Amino acid sequence: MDENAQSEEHQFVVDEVSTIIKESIETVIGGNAYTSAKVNNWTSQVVENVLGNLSKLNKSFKYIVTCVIMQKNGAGLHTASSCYWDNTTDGSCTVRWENKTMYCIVSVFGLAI
Amino acid sequence: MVMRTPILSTLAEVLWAKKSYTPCALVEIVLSTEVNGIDRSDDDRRPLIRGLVHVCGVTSAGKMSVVLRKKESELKGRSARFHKVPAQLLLSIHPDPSLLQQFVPMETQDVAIQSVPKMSQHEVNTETIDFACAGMNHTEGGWPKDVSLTEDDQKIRYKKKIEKDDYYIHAMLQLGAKIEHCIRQNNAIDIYEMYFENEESPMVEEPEPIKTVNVIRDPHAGQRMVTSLSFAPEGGHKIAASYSSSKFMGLKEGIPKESYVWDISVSNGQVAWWDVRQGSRPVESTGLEVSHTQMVTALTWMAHKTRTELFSVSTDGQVLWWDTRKLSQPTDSLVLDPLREDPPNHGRALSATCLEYEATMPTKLMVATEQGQVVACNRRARSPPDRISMIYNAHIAPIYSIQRNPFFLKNFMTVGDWTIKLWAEDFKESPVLWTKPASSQMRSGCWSASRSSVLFTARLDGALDAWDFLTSWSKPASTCQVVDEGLEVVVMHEGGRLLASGSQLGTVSLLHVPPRLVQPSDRHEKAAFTAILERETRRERVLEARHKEQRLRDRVKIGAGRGGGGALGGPGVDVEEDAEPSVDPIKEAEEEYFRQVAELQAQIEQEDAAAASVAVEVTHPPEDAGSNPPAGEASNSMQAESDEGLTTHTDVEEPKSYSSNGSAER
Repeated sequence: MDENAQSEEHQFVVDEVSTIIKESIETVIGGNAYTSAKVNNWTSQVVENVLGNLSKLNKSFKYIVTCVIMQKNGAGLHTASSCYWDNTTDGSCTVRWENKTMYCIVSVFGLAI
Repeated sequence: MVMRTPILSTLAEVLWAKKSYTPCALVEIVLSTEVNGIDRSDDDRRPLIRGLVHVCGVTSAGKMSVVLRKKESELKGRSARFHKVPAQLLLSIHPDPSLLQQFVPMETQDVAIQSVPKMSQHEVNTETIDFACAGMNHTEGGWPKDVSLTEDDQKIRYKKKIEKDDYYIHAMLQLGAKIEHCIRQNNAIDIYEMYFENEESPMVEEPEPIKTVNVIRDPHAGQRMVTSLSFAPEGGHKIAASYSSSKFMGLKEGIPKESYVWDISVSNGQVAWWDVRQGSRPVESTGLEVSHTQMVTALTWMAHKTRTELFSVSTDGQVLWWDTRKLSQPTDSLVLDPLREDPPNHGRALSATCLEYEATMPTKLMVATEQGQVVACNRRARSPPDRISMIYNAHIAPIYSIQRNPFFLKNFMTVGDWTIKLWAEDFKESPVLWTKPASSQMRSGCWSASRSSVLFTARLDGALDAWDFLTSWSKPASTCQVVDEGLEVVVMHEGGRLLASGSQLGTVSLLHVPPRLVQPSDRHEKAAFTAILERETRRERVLEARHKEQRLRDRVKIGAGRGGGGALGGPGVDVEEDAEPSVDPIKEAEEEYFRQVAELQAQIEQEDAAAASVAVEVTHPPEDAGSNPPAGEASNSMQAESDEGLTTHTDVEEPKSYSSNGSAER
């Protein structure tokens, strides 16, 4: 049990992170309509919010958080990533969130220390 | 704390199990010499144990215990195993046109603004004032009340009464000056006044100007001028140009002597001939000792079966005939001595500049000279003096061109100084027609090959004039500025459509003649021009006959000791008469002049008297009117004639204007 807890502590738990992300986006953007003037604010707020919540988990990880906000106007968007890391400890989580007017895509990469 | 082997192994187990994840814990590890036991453990654990063994190895000599105190993180020695994770697609949103339909593109909108102050315009009608014109004619008035205007007796009586008054004369004297001043105001309107006379007429494009077709430049441009041009006969497409420098001693070594196609002019008086079939060197040239002593100015091939004979004229006053089969000696010669002496005087010989030779009249030739005279020669005459048949005093400066009209061979044209003159062959006293002096010297002229009345002249200011004598001889029908420098030569192509002109700098310009100067304007053109020529010839003859008669009479008069001063309407004092070696011509001229003046005055007085009598005494003057005015008229007409005689020789301004007078005279 003790060992289990320890392994939990040293691993990147995707579910945990994805809930953190979703909550952050909900709080920051919520039902707002896309406004180009505010998008800069939103992206930085989402990123900071997610990072703050992740650090509260108190795990020995380095985190990389990115956020993309795109207006829903019919254009396509495709992103991909590739990592060179330790599969057993490190991990990534990408959340795609959308409301009526925009997409918000947040990726978190956790790298064990 | 000292640990035995079994303990060590458990310790290792513990360490392994913990995988060194214990944060910040201090582990005391005690090692003994029984390292071998650990060696036997499985491979997985070896890296962890090795680190320990290394420390222990130093102390493996015996049983000893070492206590190591280290941070757990340093000790754990976990090696990360990195892998490359294949690229994974994080997200893929495909384009969705339906979403785009929710957007409406914003239309661009035009908004106009302006920054000028606002203005407004209003119209207001003011009251109109009617104007009226009123005139009043004052014909007669100022009579006292008791004098009725209709009764002439009363008026005359009243007049006489006033005229007898003492103050009448004083009043008239005072008023006279004032009224005279008023009368002298010239209120007459000159109905012949030309408005805008000095205005430059706006450049009216000629309907069909002469166009330059091609310009052929001398490869040695600027050094030599074109002296002669010739189109190839029988409609050929070649043109021959000869170049030379006419400056005295101008032919320096450096100046090329090439001509194109062919060239027969040499500055030292030799005649050389070229054959295009035989290359670029002269085939043969005449001997220096038998040639002309001065420059050859013109040369023509004779119309002969053999086509080998030619003759040349020179400024030394000689005409020499040559045969190309024997150029060492001229076959014949003629000296242009104006006094026709035998043997001829070379010193007096006229320097020839150009010649005219018509193939249909093989024995005749005409030579134009630097002295402005034209000498007609006949080769067949017996004695040398007889060969000169006629001398025409044509110009005051050298003649540059002479050519028979291709349609009327007995008329020829000369171009010299500033004018063109047309002559009849059998009438040497004066030209039949002539033009106004041009603004620039004329250097060459040629008849049109297709129209009898058209000729072209080249001017020293580089312009080429086309004249149509049927339309006007006061100004050219068309003018074309060909080059900037002076033009020297102009020749016509056989067809009449092309002209070639050569300039002082050696440029040959090919010009296209507009159709109106090529095709006759109507069928009767030839007849019309003949009529003009004949009329003018007849007129000149009549005038000349009159002059002769006059001269004869004058001579008789002089012989009689200047007796007859009383002849009515003193005949014109001709320039020609002055020139004749009569007795003290100047004095005579003066006398003539004063006599004329006196006569004129007498006439005027007579007329005045007659007019006055007519005006004042309306009823009276049968005898005066009968006798005086006709006499006045007669003398008038005589005066006009004599004036005319004068102007014919001195004034060349408007030859047209007195042609009508002349016919009246006839």
